[in-house]
Amino acid sequence: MIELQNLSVRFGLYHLHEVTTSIESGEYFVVTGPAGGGKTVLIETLIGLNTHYRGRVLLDGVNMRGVPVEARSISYVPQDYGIFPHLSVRGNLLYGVQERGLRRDDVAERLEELLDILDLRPIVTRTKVTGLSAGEQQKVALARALLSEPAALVLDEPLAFLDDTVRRELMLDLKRINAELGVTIVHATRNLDEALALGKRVGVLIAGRMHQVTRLEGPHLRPADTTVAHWIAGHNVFPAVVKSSDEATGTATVECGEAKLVGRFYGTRLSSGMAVVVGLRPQEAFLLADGVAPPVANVLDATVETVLTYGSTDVAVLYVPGMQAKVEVMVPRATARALELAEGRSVRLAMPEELLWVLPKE
Amino acid sequence: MTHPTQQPVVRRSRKDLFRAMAGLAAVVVVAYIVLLVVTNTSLLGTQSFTDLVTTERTLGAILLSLAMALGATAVAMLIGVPAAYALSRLRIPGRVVWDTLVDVPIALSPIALGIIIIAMFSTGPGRFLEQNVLAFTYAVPGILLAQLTVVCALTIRLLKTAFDDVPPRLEAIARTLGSTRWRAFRRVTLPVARRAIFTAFVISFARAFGEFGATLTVAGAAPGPRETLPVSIFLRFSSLEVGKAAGLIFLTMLLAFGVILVLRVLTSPDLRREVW
Repeated sequence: MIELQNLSVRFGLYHLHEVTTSIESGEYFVVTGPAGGGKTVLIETLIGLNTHYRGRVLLDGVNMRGVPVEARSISYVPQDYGIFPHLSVRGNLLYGVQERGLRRDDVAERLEELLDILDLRPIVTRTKVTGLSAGEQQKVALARALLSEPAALVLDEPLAFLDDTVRRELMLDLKRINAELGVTIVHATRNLDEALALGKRVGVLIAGRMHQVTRLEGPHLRPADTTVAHWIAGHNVFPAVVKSSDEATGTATVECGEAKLVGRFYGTRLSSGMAVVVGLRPQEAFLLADGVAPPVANVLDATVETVLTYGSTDVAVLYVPGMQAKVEVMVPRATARALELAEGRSVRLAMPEELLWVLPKE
Repeated sequence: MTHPTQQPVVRRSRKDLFRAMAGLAAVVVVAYIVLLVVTNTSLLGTQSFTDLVTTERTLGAILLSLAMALGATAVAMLIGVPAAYALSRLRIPGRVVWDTLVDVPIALSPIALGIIIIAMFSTGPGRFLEQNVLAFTYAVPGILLAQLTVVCALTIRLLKTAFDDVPPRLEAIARTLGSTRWRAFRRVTLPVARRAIFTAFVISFARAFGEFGATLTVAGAAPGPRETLPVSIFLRFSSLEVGKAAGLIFLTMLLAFGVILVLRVLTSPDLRREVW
């Protein structure tokens, strides 16, 4: 188990304020947030590379202050993989085994397992690492980090430089590593979708503060405050006023412009007349085809203002007269084609009530 | 449809001109060195070269020059590797100032450095050292010290560049894999930087081998046991034996070319393949 207690770092431009959280053994913990939020400082402090901090870092109950990097049993894979250029693939894989004084026989089984999971057999005999692709380098770095059976594996933006297909492949590999080998993983990423796809718990670190640590129950994150809301939903955060709220179901009805919206709230009690914000990520809203029976709540007429074609999804900016606001929505390409999505087209926007969050305005 | 200001689709590449200019510069440099060699050879007496080289005095100068240059370079590397690593990696307060200070001897003339060394040994502790431990002024160890003083700054500069080019992250990863700081240096930084380190060795050796000013000031210039090849050239030239001076210059060129080539080939795996 990893525990951070009131961890504070001030180091030039980098800073952390009083971060307290714990990570259970075998857990997949993702630290996410925008660039410059402090993820790398957090990770370097955890590994032991940064020794200028206040507060405590505990590994299985032992205070890590003064414990050197090499004595911590935490393996580390940075975004540029850090393959040793002067060693062969096998030399890279076995580096930690030799340095920790293990015998090759002790790790033979583990090595076979990792070669299988990461599909490394085709390249394991390579004498030069210079010809490896980015994805292959990352796999070698992962296997190298895992071979000496560390107490935890720490990943800093491990997928940032990879092509989409390779990224998806590695995400599946990481899930398997966590599930089959039972390794505790701490993974830092700017990419919220990556965090939601992999994390069992997610911590959101913005401007040096851990705004929330949340156990995920699906690929959705409920923001704990408006700072997180703005980071995850971008422009889709709207001012509203509470009309009524039901504590038992966590459901609130709010007035946003002239539209009535139904959403969910967590934690803070809401009272009638209270100023709040409501919102959801562009990928959580959707468009209804003509003739489809609408859900009970949150269906609004809208006009398409602009469409950005991006990858396999289109991003549409809608003007919603009822809300007197613009709403961004991501539409799968096939749906966009079926709806003949184009500028000026009238559409019906649906915002699922279980995904529409209501937060007290700060 | 062609827009009037549109660039032609295929523009004549200037790459060839650039390559020609670069090649020309290289040719000029090589040609100049060849000219120096040829001029020098024209000064040689026809049969006197072999006689000159086989005299005891010349053989002594060759051995002394090689031994001193190798010794000074070895010591410079022993001091330079840790010092350059410290300048490259440690967060020393005022690092830029220390780093720049190391460069100052490069700008000083070797004679100036020699004068400072002599002055050092005329102080109390300096004299004590000379009388009770080891004599440096007008003695063979003085040659090594003079060359070391001249070469060391250059060695450190080259080695620091070598270490700067190794990402510190590689050491960090080595440590998360169980290496101590020393082991991370030994097993990662040093081998990754090895080519640049070998280059530092070769360049430092060449500089030490040709060192004259500081050697002259500290160890004196007289025929005999303290006579390195550069000193010998100076002595022959001063006594108007131009042919013999030219012979020694030619010998120095041969030795420098041979030793540097051998060092370079031995220390670079790629070159070894290219040569054989």
